[in-house]
Amino acid sequence: MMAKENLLITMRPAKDVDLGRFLMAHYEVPYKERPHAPVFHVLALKFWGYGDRGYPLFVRAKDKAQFSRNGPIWGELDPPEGDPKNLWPDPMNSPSAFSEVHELQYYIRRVVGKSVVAWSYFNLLQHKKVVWTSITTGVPWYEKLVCYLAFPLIRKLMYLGLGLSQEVADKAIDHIYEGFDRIDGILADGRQYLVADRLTFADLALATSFGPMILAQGYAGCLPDQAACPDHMQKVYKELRQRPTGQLIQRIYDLHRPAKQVRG
Amino acid sequence: MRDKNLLITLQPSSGVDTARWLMGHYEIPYEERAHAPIFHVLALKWWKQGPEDYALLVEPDGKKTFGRVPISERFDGDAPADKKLIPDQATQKELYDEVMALVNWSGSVTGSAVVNWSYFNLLKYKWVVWPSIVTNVPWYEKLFCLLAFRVIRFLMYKGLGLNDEVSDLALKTIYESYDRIDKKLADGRQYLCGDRLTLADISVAALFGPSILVQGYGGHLPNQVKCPDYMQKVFKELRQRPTGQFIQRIYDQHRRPKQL
Repeated sequence: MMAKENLLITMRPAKDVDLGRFLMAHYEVPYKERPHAPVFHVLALKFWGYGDRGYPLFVRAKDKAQFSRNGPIWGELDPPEGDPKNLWPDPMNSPSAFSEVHELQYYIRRVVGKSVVAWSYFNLLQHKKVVWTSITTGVPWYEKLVCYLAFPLIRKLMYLGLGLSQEVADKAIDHIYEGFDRIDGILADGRQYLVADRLTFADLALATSFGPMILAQGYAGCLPDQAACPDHMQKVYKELRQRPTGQLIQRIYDLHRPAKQVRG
Repeated sequence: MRDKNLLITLQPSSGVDTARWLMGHYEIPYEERAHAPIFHVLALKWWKQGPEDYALLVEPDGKKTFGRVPISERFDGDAPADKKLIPDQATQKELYDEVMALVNWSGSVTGSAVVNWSYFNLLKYKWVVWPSIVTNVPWYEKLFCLLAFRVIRFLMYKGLGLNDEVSDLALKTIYESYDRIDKKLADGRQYLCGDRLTLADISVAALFGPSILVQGYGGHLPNQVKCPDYMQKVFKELRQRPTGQFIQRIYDQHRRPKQL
């Protein structure tokens, strides 16, 4: 399959997809996004030869090279330390900063990030109209149609696939608060970025993985409008947004995420 | 005989969001009857009111009150001391004057500028502004907006006298207003007048709110990422200023959640 422009194959609302978008914009790599609704993303990735967690998939136009997930994307695009666009300290020259970024981004994305996904999907999927734009903005018309007609089925598949239940969501929110506590602790000395006094991959990981917990403006997964969410969720969003971590997340989006209008 | 208070509204209006906030603050239960722009004129006419008499509060006994300041005055007198938003004019004259000056300035100067800049630019993008104008409005209003969006836009541009020049001037006014509030907040104060929440804080938060796409606004502001790049730039810039931070904080700490 020949593409004239770089492609990013995505599942619209996913946090790691928004990290991928952030990386592409940060490294100034132009691309066209092909977003998919949850569940349909599995078919789209299968079409390209990848598993259901293979998003975002960056398909480069010039050499048809494919980069599945964020590790290979930054691995390919991150310039050497010293370049203003560098997000990863050099493991040889700055080993402690590298380790700090690595450990933090892992904790944020893979440990607490899973809880953000669990709590958000479990609660938001109970309200079709609230979550509608998050799952269908820009997706093909037939995916939108199936989501419209068979929303309970999509929800059931997502609950099953992610192992979601009220108990899981309740544990997840406690875990999220612990995550905010830890990051608040790091920020308590007044620093503007998580590591090394400059923007690193850890800041981008924080913004995109925790962003759904404050409904961060600028997140291109089209998060819901807070006023449309149930009261118990609004309470959480308001509380977390005013914490130092919440403030940092929105600041990272406002200061470092290049604007790009989402169509559809 | 109705047993509920009704709030007749123009869905996206910042004055209306101030009124929603006040009703929540004073813990007055109500049912909102939201209308799309232009249709709100007909709805208000049905209630024998003028086109700008929103939000219109109709109490079960038929008593009508419209506008954010009169609605606040309607309930503030009977509110417990910790809920009062308007300082006593007799005993706190200086504070009262300070609050009301900000309340009136934020409405007539900044509020109008935010309306002009936002409507002029957002109405160019039907699907961006769609939730703001049709959420919870009657089905026939939604249908008309769907089929005749251009007519609605034309009438709104005409009614508000909107064009490029007006929009540019409005944006300049918005930035100047942020300068003024930033300056007031520079001493580290948590509230604009005195040491607790007043009508001035709520007015500034709600009337400036659309300029940062504040979360918690009940008028269904657009999602930032769907807005054109040049608008995103403004939202981001203003949100990070002390006034922008203040607006979101006031919403987060003082606006009672109510799922719309």
